[in-house]
Amino acid sequence: MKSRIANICAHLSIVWSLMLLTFYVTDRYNDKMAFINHDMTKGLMALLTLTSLVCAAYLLLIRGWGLPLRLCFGIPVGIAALASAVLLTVDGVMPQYILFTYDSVKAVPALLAVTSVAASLALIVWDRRALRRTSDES
Amino acid sequence: MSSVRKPMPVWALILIDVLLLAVFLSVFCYFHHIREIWGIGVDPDVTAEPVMIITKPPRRTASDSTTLFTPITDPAPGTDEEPSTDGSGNPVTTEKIPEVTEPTLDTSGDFGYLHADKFAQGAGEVNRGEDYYQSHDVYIRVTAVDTKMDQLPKKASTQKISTRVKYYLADIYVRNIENFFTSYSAGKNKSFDQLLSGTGALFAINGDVFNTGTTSKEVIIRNGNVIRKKDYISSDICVLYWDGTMETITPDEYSWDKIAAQAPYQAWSFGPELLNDDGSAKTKINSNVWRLNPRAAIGYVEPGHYVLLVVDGNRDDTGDGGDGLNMDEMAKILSDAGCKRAYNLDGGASVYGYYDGEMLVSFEGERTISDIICVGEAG
Repeated sequence: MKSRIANICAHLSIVWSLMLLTFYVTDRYNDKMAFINHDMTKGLMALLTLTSLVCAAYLLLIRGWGLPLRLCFGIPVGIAALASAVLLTVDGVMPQYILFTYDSVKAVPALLAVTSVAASLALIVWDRRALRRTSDES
Repeated sequence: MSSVRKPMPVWALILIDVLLLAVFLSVFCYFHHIREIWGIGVDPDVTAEPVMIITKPPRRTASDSTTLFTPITDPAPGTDEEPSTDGSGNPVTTEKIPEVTEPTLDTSGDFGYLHADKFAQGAGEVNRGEDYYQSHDVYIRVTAVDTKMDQLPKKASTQKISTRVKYYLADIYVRNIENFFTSYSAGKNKSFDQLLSGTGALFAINGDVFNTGTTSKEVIIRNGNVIRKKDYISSDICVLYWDGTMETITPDEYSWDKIAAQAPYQAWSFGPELLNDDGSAKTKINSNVWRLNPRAAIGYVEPGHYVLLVVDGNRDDTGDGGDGLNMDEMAKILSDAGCKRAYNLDGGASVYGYYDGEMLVSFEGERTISDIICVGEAG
């Protein structure tokens, strides 16, 4: 069950990460279209933060995989997800600072997206290997 | 009882993810773009009904210091002149020259006293040529430029390239501020023709296209109608006041109360500002669309005297529109035209230019826009 939820979260993370990266790139060309500084994008980022945290937790807590690899993928995405959560909270509490117009702040969702894609792919690949091993054994 | 889950084929996983991505992007596109363009469930902040209306203040008289307009205080002839003296301070008697009666210029209107010589003096008089239009209330001179120019294609570029630049610069004088007006459609974009229709505009260009990307368009005022106002802004805005003055305002300088107190007539939200406080062109302007591009911009020289610039860059099969301008070069053109303030408007395929029945710049497909800036008799 845990593995299934983590798998779904991993796929959603990949899809939402690709969306965020698309917006990040288009925003670099035309920020007047407000691809990043848009309430919908912030909602998307919040969803990605949640699924990324699930993936990070799954990667870090599930036993059976090599610790260095789990740390290598789980810690970056965990940190990026926590940073995004903090950023979204600050933006929601103090909208007058218009945080998502700053290039340095816009980099956070991009960072989250990249780490999330990496962690999700790792999770999916390892999970598939585990499933295959189990099915071979049975 | 335990069932063994079998892994899904890789191609199926990729297909599902790609389909999900397409669906999510389409949903985002619908809410981000389509609804705004079609006017479905528009942003409640941007509705056809203005948030408030700021009417034109009465013109200031000599005894009234509470309103905005500068009093017309033409000094009586000779009252301020020092008497002529010779080297030792004795008055010099000069031969009285017979007075030459000059035709009296019509100084009526908001800015007639500033630019009386630019306007036709008769009420119905109109003088027009291919590149100019002069009436009692409006003077427009359109300079068409088609030239080669070396410019940087992108902000990060170090090597200038030879480009062909085609633009139209309109030098505009208006007797009353109402001759410099906007036509707009809040909440739903329209074609340029629809916005132009019935306005009586002689010269028109696109504005800031405020219906699209509304999150970045904070303060919108059109003809005194406040369509949207905010307590803070994220990018430069340009405000034209009823007294004819114009200023560009950065997020750090912004205060709605300060703007409202000065009676704003128009406010555009696109930017960035293009000139320094002394009127010199900014260099390396901070913009994501700094590169060569079709462009539109508004410039301010003094009350009643404005400049509108529209840069072609239509890269269709014929290449007839040239390569467009980068933002630094555009700033230089407006600075050279004598502008003290200048502001970038929406560019790319949103650019339209119109003069006296003829489209100067337009693009295939005719993107719908929210507003245009007009100069004309009606107002």
